[in-house]
Amino acid sequence: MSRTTDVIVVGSGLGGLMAALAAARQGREVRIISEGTGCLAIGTGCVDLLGYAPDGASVEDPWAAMAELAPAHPYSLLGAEKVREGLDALTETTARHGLVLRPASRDGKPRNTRVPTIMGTLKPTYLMPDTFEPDDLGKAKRVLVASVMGFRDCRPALVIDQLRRYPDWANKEYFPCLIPTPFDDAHRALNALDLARAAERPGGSEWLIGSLKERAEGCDLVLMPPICGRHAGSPLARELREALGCPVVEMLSIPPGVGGLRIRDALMRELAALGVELVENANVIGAGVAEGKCLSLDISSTGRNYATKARAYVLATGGILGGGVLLEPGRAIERVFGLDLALPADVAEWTEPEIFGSQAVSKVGVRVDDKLRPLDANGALALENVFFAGRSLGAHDPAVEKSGYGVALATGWQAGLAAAELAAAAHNTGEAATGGEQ
Amino acid sequence: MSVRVSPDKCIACTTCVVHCPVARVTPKFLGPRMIGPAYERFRLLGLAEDESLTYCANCKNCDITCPQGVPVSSINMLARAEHCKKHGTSMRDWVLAHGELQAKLLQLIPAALKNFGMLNPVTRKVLDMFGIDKRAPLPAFAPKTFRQMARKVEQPSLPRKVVFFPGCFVDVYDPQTGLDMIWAFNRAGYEVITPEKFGCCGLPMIANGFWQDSRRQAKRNLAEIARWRDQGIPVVTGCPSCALTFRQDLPEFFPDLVEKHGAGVLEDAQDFLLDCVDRGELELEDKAPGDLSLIYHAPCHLRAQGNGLPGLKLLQRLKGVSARNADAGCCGISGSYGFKKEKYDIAQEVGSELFHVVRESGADFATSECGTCRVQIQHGSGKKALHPVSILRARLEGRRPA
Amino acid sequence: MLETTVVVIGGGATGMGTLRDLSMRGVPAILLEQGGIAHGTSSRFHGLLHSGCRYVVNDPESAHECIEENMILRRIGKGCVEVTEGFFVLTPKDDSNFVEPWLKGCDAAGIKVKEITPAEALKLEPNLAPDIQRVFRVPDSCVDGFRLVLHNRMSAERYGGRAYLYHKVEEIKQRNGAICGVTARNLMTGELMEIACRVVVNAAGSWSGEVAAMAGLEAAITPDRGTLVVFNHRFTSRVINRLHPSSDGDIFVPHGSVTILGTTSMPTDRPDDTTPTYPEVTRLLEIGEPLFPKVHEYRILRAFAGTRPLYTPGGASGRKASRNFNVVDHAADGLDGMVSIFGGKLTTYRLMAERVTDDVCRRLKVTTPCRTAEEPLIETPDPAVLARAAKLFPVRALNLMADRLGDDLTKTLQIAEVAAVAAKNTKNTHITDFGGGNPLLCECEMVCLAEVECVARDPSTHSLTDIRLRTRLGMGTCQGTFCSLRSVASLVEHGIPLEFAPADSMCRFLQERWKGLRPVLWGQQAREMEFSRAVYAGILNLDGAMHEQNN
Repeated sequence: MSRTTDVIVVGSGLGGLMAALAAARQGREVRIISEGTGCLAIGTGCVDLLGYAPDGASVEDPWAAMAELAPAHPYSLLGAEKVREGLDALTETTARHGLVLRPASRDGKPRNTRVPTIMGTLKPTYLMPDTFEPDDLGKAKRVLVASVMGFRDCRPALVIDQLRRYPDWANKEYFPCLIPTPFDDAHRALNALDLARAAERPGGSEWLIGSLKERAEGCDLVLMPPICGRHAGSPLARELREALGCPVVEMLSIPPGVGGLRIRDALMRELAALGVELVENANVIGAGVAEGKCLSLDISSTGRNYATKARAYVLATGGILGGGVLLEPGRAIERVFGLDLALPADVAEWTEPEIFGSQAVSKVGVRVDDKLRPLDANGALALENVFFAGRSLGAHDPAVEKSGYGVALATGWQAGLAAAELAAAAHNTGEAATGGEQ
Repeated sequence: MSVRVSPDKCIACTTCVVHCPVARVTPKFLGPRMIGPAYERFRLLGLAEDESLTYCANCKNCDITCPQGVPVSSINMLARAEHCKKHGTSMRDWVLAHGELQAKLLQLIPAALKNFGMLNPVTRKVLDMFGIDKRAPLPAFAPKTFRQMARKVEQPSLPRKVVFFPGCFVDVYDPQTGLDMIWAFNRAGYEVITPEKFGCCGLPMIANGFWQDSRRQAKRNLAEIARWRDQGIPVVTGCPSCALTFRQDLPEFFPDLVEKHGAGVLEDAQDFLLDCVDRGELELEDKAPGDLSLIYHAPCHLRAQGNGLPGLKLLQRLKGVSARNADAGCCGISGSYGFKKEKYDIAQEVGSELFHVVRESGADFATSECGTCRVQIQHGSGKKALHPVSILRARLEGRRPA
Repeated sequence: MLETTVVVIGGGATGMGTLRDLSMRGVPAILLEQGGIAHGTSSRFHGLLHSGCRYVVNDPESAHECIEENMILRRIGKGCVEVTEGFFVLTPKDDSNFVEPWLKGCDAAGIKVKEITPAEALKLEPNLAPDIQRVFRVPDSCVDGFRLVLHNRMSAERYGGRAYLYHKVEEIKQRNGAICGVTARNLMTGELMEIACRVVVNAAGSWSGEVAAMAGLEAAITPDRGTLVVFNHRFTSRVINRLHPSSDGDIFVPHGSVTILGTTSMPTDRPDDTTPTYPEVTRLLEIGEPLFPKVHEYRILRAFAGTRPLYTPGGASGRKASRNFNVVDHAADGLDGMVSIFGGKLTTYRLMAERVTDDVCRRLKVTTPCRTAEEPLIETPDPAVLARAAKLFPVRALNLMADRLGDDLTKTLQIAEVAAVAAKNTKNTHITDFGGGNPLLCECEMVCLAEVECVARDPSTHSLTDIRLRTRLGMGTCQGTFCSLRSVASLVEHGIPLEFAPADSMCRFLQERWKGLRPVLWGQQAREMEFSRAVYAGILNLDGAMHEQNN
């Protein structure tokens, strides 16, 4: 593993995979270093771009709203055009593997759609699978809310109770429905992924169609948990829609993230075809740095440490949740380069009393320039061959503003392109990676 | 046993449940999170073991996929050891955990007779009643162990040396792979030492709950590795599971031994050879006529080592070889797990996707570093499976692998 | 207008213990509590059932009471007490001269103490610091304060006592210098409740000064704030005390699946001053470190705080104030029928209740003797019931559940059995939960639907937090990320309403957890918190829903 590659991407969440894709598409040799599966294993199948403005106002047109964000926000650093590039790269790639994602539009303009969740709340999101028309949600009058017996995470009664509390969903007619489970005697409580896999087994589509056909009669919308297969190109949702003769919408669900896994599936297939190397279970614990350049990354894995090298590096290590940002009593640091991230020394000042308020701690992250290279405390460029992407970036709070996938894929894509360009330049000038090959 | 792994890192995100091959096929297994860190909190409270622990195959996909770095499989194996200490182990599990010892005990019996004894339908029926599924692809004893054969190999005298840790599978069932390894190292300019003192790495004992036996093995092996390490001679293995045991399990389970003897690191032989290529010590001149198409299976225990897939890379460097990563998950066998009667069907179901990919690949051979993975792939897909080094040797010798 | 003989104010251990004692002696009594069960100090301490060793030097009387009550509670409170024993550990940072007077004190108080070698101690508790100097085994134990109060209530109700929760006393009525009644407000409905009575027992703990004032009396009660830290797992099986004069942060108590470290001591002017702070937490960790060198690495689930009701007639405060209790009959102050109990500690709650009840009974000329030390709080679970439950609940966790539920075990089992039959009758022969229809909602603490349902149907349950306190739902590793949604969903499905709409209920529940997280927001628990926010805000848009839904 001492072998030098063009681009090393650290992290295999959406940001990391997009960066790897961008660099590989540029013809670069790419190695992904991954400690565990990233956010897609716990995410949904829809792509959020920007759902709420900083003042909490609901956003209809995320492209327009992007212009109002703070200057340090990753979208502001990139600009809408570059965000669009990442989004296009994602949709084009997933479509190639049978997963078509697209936004709703009004008057020819793309816009957010509010999609039901398994909790019966509505969440603004941007890209959705093309298995349903976004307008179907608004037009529906008779809604079948279906789930599976014994499946704890989605109970139609709650979904209906909650949806009725929204003015524009209050006057629909709702029909709860629990279909039998596809499993024989079992010990373990089921999750959405169990059901999605069961649906893909022989007889799975008959199970879904058979259990829903009669119940869906007369309905103009079926809401169900995300169980129509776990693979990117699963035809189940389409089959179901055709068989039932009405739109079928998978509600956004809590982990395990069946929808996210479909996106991951498409990206992983694409990366494998491009020959991207995946090093799993490798924890990047530090880096060799000299003269403002990263020379190598220190890896720790199962009782062994080693260094790995590239001509350019993309750090998509995640934020607090993913471990790219480490919180210690009184301070926050970026985990690989030890960059100090600005937080007050008193932990009490990191948060607001309200859990969903504007939390300083949730916006903590690496400060970067418009090429996504890290800056030091004085705002000067810290490392010239390192690019940060995704949740490790500061100045945004994807949970509250509903921008999680959007920031990750846009910054990931641009970081990958920038890293590829740098690596190509290093090739051309004959510069071996910093530190040289053995 | 006083060793405990803290369950603190788990945030209950369910990623391990997503990727657990056993939980995927059977709801009898509560899943890595529940049985690992979640239940560990109750073990510390003194609650009796949950029976579903026995379904953990120790394949380590939980460790590989966990974004929080929770050593789930270690928690499980420690719990299993504790449980076995309290409640005993079965004769069947003893047999499966002590393959090397049996081979030693049966040493004087000719292989043909041993295999007739072990693998004939009558014995298999008896074994089946005993808990070893009659359909399981039990490997056959080789006529001579690898180390018996290695002694007879006339190696050129070379200044550079490596020590080779064969692992039980190569030693007892598959000496040819070991001989191919010697050939490859000789070719790269290394004389291969195969010490008699090495024994089983102890993983089958850990997985089956034979704690003390595994400790005994560790003591012996670590002392022996230290001896070579102190002379500056690298110790390599072609078996990912053995390597992982030394890297992860022994320091975790027997910290005192590791402290005494130092880390017993086995280097990945394939990675070592790849470095030889990079250093110009090993020339990969593919002399074989015609192209060879391979479907490669990455053993879970290799993926867990955080070092990529050097065996696959090595094959991909051969001009006439196209090697594709099957990327179809666990093969299901997990050492002896898939031999057990109550687990055989689970193991086959776990491996079904891989078998499908291998069958559909149209490849000439399947290839994988792990011995039992190869057995399982061959059993499940019907395609012959070889160690990458065997393919390397054949190509460099200008012949078709056999 | 309700009529009774005695109104007890305060639903903590002392108040509920008094209600139980009165009821067992046949005195009609009603208890009023402004919050939920044990909403004050009884659920906000480290859960240590004192051996008394901590008080032997400064407060020998308390020490003696502790060891006696400790032994009684082990007998009567099997569902609340975990007999663990404790260590007193002398670290290199502690003064070894303290050992001799301490040992003498233990001897004088009649507490059995046995020294073991540090090596033996480390074998029993491998996470202790290897450089500890001396270790003494003492009969400390652990007690679940919340459950203790609950089980006292169950016992009291079996004897006809009634407890009204979320009822705040607004007036203590007197006529001709004697108590004649109490007015309370139902905080859930806003309605007033009038109760006629002859005696009022003020057992309001940190609030007892305020209650006394309501009757026009003065009482020297100084609430003293104590902050505690909860760790994610049980890294010690025994109570571990530092062997030195009492100080902040020197006691570790294993508590079910977690470990609690406490306690700080800080005078406060508000009895409800229960927000823990970051400096308190760092101080706790600092003092705990000589006992457990890895204390900074262990994951902190949350911090919490409670107020001790220190009785300070002479003006002493903080650690200097006596932990002893005083029964004050206010007849001396000119109000007949008003009795207050000031100070004290949870370990001696029963004795305090007995003394108050003695006083009340003397006045009422009731001569029935106290039997609270003899009769168990709840009946031992019937093996037949447990055997039935084993089919429908996670079998390994059965005893934990039985202990939690107390008298409600049978009711819970019936709910699960009905659900199992219903699951079969849906012609869905595929059973996916424990026995069908009884899924595990909280995987961290192993709580099933039937238990949540039983507790939710209890009239005194209003919120997910009430359910949490009784079942431990959401008190484990994930702090409610998965189980709060599942619980609310199941309750809606079963038509069991909580006080607030579903989204609001969940939000309040998460908010409650958030409060405890804020001062300890680092390491793995910060990652857990971000995960929870990613799920509830990022995926489910709970924050948006709060503004967009009509409730």
